[in-house]
Amino acid sequence: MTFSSSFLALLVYGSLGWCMFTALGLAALLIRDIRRGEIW
Amino acid sequence: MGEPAREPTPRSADGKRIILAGRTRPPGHPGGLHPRPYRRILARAARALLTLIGTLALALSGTSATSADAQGKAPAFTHEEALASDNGYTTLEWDAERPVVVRQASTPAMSAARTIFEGTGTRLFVSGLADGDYYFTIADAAPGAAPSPPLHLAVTHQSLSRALWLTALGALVFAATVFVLIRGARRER
Amino acid sequence: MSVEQALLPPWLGWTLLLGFSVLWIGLGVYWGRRNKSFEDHALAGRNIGLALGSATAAATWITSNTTMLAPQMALQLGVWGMLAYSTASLGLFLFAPMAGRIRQLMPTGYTSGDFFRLRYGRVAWGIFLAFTLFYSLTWLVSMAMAGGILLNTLSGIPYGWGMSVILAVCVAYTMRGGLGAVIGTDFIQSLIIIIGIVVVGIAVLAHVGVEEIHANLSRERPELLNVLFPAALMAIFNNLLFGLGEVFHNNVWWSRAFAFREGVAGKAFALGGLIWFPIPFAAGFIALASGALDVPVPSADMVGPLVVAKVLGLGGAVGIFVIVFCSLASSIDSLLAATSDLLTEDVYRRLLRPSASPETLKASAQWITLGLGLFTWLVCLPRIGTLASVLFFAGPLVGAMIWPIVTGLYWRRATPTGAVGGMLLGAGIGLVSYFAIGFYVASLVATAVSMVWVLACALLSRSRFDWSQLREAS
Repeated sequence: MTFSSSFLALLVYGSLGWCMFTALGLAALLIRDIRRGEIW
Repeated sequence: MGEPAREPTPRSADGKRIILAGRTRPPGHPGGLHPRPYRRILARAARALLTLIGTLALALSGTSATSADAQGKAPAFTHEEALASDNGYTTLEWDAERPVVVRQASTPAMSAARTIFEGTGTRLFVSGLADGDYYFTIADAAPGAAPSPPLHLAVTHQSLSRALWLTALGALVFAATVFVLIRGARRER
Repeated sequence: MSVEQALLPPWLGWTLLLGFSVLWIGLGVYWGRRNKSFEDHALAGRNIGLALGSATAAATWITSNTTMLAPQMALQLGVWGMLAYSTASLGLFLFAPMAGRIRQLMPTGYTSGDFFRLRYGRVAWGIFLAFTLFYSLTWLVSMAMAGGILLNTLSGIPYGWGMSVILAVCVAYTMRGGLGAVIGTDFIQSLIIIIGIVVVGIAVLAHVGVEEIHANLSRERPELLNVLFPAALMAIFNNLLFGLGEVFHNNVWWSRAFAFREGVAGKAFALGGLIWFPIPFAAGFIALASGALDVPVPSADMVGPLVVAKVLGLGGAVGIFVIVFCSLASSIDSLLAATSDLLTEDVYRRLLRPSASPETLKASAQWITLGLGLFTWLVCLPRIGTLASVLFFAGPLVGAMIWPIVTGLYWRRATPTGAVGGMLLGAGIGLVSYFAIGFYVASLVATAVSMVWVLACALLSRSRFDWSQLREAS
């Protein structure tokens, strides 16, 4: 039983997409916090 | 974080060959980012000591370490005995002055061998090998150079049934932890 | 490809190192001006918002180990290796509900040591202090050493200089800025790391497709794709429990639970876990591409930088240098801050000077940070590699603390006998199994043994803990 090529592709593209999404999300979250004056 | 994966401990360090060649590992060699097992440190210290003694002896006897025969010496693996691995990975190490070719096959006769390394260097990390026997030869990269006798690596993976039992135990402990946490968090509300 | 010279010219390495050093120290000094008391310094005024909270949870957990060891584990243990590594994010996910509970039960708490002392008494507290100091100090030492070695390998900066600079920079801004500076820099560092990993990943994929990587692996490294790879299977839960133990007990995480604003802690840790989860895959898969890209790997721990330098050249080497520097700094600063707070609160204040004023406590926390930095520097200076491998022993120690902490937070019937016995028996038997069987079972055995003991004691116990005892007047 081996991991298939499409599973590997899912892991690779999925993780890269996820990372990109979280980077954008973090930036958006920071801007929201700054606007509300809730940064710290 | 996490359990740092371990490198296989080198099985042996050939001090004698080092003295003949009159050198240790080249400077700036990426010696690794993670802790060496203490056996490797000891082996390194032993190598350094032997090199020092060798150099001193040569200096006292008035001969030079960089003699013609050291230059012309064929590249060879530094492992003194056959290698064994229970996780499919190991590090091949060798002494060489010039570019080398390392080949891998599944028979000692090296039939259907393929080249796994070509160039300058003294180490190669191989991994992902399935159960079985593997043979490696090293030769000078110059055309027509004769390869070394094959180095044997036996890969016998750890018991699958034990691994599965341990995985099941791990899953159980983890599930119990999650259960206690989630039930606790629910009751809190 | 020759691998015997550094990937970057030393002048460029020094320029990057100095540039980032000035940035971090400047931010530390700037943010440090907000701090008046020990509470401001150690817990950033207990008012951290969601964005900074999530980023610091993720960034602290992204150590040099994540960016360097994830590729190494992928190369050694294959697809399961990456998955085993990413299970460490479960530590953050599961700490999320605990963080809320901690904040609620101990509104004036400072450290995880406070919890052990108030919940289980002095004996359990002493054992906890010994275990956690062992873990934190070896982690700190191994990280500073890895920093020196990595900077040396990447750019030829001598080990002693690289290690000293990175440690000095972290000590300087942690001393001046306290937890606020640590968390602020963590935000910038986490963005740099995540973006860097994505850029590197895309560059690798531009050179070689996943199909090609898979074909090369099935031909040359078939075991890495094997679903039933024994060593990799064993790594999964051992790694998971090691990570759980690390997060649950360490003051690095508890101090954040206390520092986050009311209602923020749970969300921030869950988001931190979400941010962290894909990183071992994104950083790890490039190692699997080494065969298809024809990059020879002299030792497993160098695979990441070698592949990146091959596909991206000088730009890639700069990228890796920056990623590594940021992941080192984001962990060293957190460890320095959390460990100095633990020593200030649990040793200086509780054992030596109960009447110390907030200003004195803040000053002593700063001096303790400096002392910790000096201690680490002295231990790292001779570059004894075996010292860092002592971190392996921490697996059973932290695993044995999982159950005492979880039941102590949620069960009134959890007892000091259960906690003390669980920690000692778990750690002891775990260490024995480390030597008798192998490192891949140590955390698992320790957690399982401690769980059985804690459960048995709780079942037999007649005492019921009064939660209000955790609300100590500070």
